[in-house]
Amino acid sequence: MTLPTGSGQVQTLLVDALTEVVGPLNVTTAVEQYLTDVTEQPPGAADVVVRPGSADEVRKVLLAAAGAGAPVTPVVAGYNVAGLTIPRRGGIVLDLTRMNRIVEVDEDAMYVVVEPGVTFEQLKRHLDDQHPDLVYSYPFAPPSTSVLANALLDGLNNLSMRHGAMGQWVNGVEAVLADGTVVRTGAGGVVDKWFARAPLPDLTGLFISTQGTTGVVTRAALQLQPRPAARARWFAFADDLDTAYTAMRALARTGSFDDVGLMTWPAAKMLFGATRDLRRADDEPFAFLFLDMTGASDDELAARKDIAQRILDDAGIETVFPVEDLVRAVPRYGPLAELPTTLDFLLDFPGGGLTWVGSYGPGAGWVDGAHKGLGVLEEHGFPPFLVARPMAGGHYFVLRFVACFDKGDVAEVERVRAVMGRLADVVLDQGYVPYKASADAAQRILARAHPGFVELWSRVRGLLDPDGRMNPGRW
Amino acid sequence: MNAASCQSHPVTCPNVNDRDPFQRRTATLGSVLPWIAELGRTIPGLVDSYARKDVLNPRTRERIILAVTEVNGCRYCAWIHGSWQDFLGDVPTGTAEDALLVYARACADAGRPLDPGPLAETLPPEAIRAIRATVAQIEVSNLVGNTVDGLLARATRARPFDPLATLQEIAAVGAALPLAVPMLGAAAFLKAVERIAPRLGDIDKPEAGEANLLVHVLAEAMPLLLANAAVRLVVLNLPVRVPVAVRAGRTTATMRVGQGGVTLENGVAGDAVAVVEGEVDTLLKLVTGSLLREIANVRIRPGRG
Repeated sequence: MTLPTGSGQVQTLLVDALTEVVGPLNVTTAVEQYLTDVTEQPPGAADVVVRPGSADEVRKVLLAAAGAGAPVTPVVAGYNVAGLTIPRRGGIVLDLTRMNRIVEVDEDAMYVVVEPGVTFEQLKRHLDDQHPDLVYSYPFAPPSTSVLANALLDGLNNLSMRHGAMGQWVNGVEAVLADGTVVRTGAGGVVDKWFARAPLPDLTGLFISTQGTTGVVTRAALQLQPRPAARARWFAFADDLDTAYTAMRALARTGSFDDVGLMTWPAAKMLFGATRDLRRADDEPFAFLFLDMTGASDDELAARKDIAQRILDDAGIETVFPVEDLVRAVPRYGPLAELPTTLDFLLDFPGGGLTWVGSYGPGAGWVDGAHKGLGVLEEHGFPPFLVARPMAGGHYFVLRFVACFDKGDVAEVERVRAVMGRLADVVLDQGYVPYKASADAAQRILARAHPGFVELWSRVRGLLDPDGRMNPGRW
Repeated sequence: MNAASCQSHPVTCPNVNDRDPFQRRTATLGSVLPWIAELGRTIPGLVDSYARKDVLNPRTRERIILAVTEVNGCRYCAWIHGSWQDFLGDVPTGTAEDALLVYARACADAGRPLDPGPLAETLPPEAIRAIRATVAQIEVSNLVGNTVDGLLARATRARPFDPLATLQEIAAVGAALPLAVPMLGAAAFLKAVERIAPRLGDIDKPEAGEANLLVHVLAEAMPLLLANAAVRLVVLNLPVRVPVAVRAGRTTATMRVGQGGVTLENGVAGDAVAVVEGEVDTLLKLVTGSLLREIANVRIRPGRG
């Protein structure tokens, strides 16, 4: 039986069926908080919110949804800056925050198995307390956001320069398909250890960057890394993007550093409370690089510092200093020094709007793409705010253009929509591909994609979700 | 360990007993000797704790002292070092300091020096030595200070009269007087300076979007720079706002300090009387108190003013 969603009949049927699965306290028709996020994406629509507490409850919810023909939009923190969890076609919002167990940490094979509701704050505390020899990779994102969602959406964290986008950290998943079938991928699908994706058909990729359209992941095994014995963090000032790129490229290629990231000058001004009418003085740096260096010993760290200093000198970067010195003098910089972190200066922007186009692509187009993207932001009246990072040892780079805006200002929201569309085209023109792509960006990607890519993706999606009910409106 | 906890741990509080209603630890041979021995082992650290900011920041030293004093309940030391801390000014500290304070309190609780092993993971040996010396010297001071109160309690019959113990206490207090009196005098002076030093009010600077990063950093760091009451007393009481330019890396700003306030502006003002030039890290360290060590790494040249 497939009923049109949004009708009173389907609502009643769904609520009754879902209540039977998860209990009355975990089903609500108060959907308002799920219909918007911090971005410029328009409000969505939904009939009911259900909060399962286990994979089996997810399975039963999806069976009920399949029976009613109801769309399903999964959500955890709802903080992905692309409107990816705004329900577009009514139906069920599947709030996974109750599923917040850290199922297993394998110290020997260095992985953790988490449910979708596990937050970065929770994982970090758990590792620090229970497994102090291991670390995960953390983003410039609020500590309350989902570890698993970040990995499935191929985000970039503070060890991504060394180890790649977070999708690469997933050793395997357990997921529930649209028809209620429970599936497993990776080594954990074959043996009782989720040690790697290899040497099996790589089915894990079916759930990476697919934005919940192929199924609901109920747990994932994520790689951990050894905690280094020694660590140092530096800030460095770059006067232009060419200099910054030269330094980032060289640093990444040594394989000696954990992280090298970049933010342009508006980020620093916003940190001090500036919101609009940002101006850069001639004697101010254009971009700020942050370096994270570790070593198995103080001597190894010292050697890496020498390498970093030489590379920065060669690139023409004169101003380099330890992050700790800055944080001690200006405690406001503290949130930049320890991840995960809530960047209040972005979230507190008057009007509360935050959005970006982030993309991965080849280093060769980075400088040109950065200039063009920053130009587009300025043409539309936004500060030239760029975040960047080499990824996976320099195999590819990040270009992320950020805009804060007033969500209550209709004209500004329209301006943001226009600029985000233009930016998606700019990065695609440079050979970059948006990650965590908004619905609009996804359509722009598919419009340029090879027909073979589109055909394969269409077949895969048709196979796993023939009714198109899983997070509809995406891809 | 306070009086109540001393009662529950009599073994670690040798001079506290159920018959004596004065429950603070006082200076006896048994209570003081471990600390005197510790001071003997760490005497260069005691010198460093007062002479070398790079080994032990004075504000951290005073926090350690007050943490120990809080445990021992010595009101004289609390007054002296509270005055000192107020004079230096309170500034935010990192979480690293928490471990030092935990160690200091644990020593005070135990009534004897403890193994500083855990501190060795994050601190160099000379800093640990200075911390040990700081704890030892304030422990001795606390014990003597409490002994004064113990004697007063005997004099007012709030405590039983014990001739032998009284003599010992008088001897301990007498031995400490040559050091205690100047300390009390110095503390009174510091408190007076702190009271008359002007408070730093709002800092005038360009709009947030226009102010350059050095202006922002200086504005943020100004409470640190002017935390010391003596510095505020001199600088903020200048009869005119004296323009001093700063060049950190390539970025420049001008501070105008005096007449009770501070003004910051982008660039090097034409009337700047001096330009302080240095690398960013040097200037940051200057701000955070490594003045003596870093001053050699900055250049100060006359301005055009």
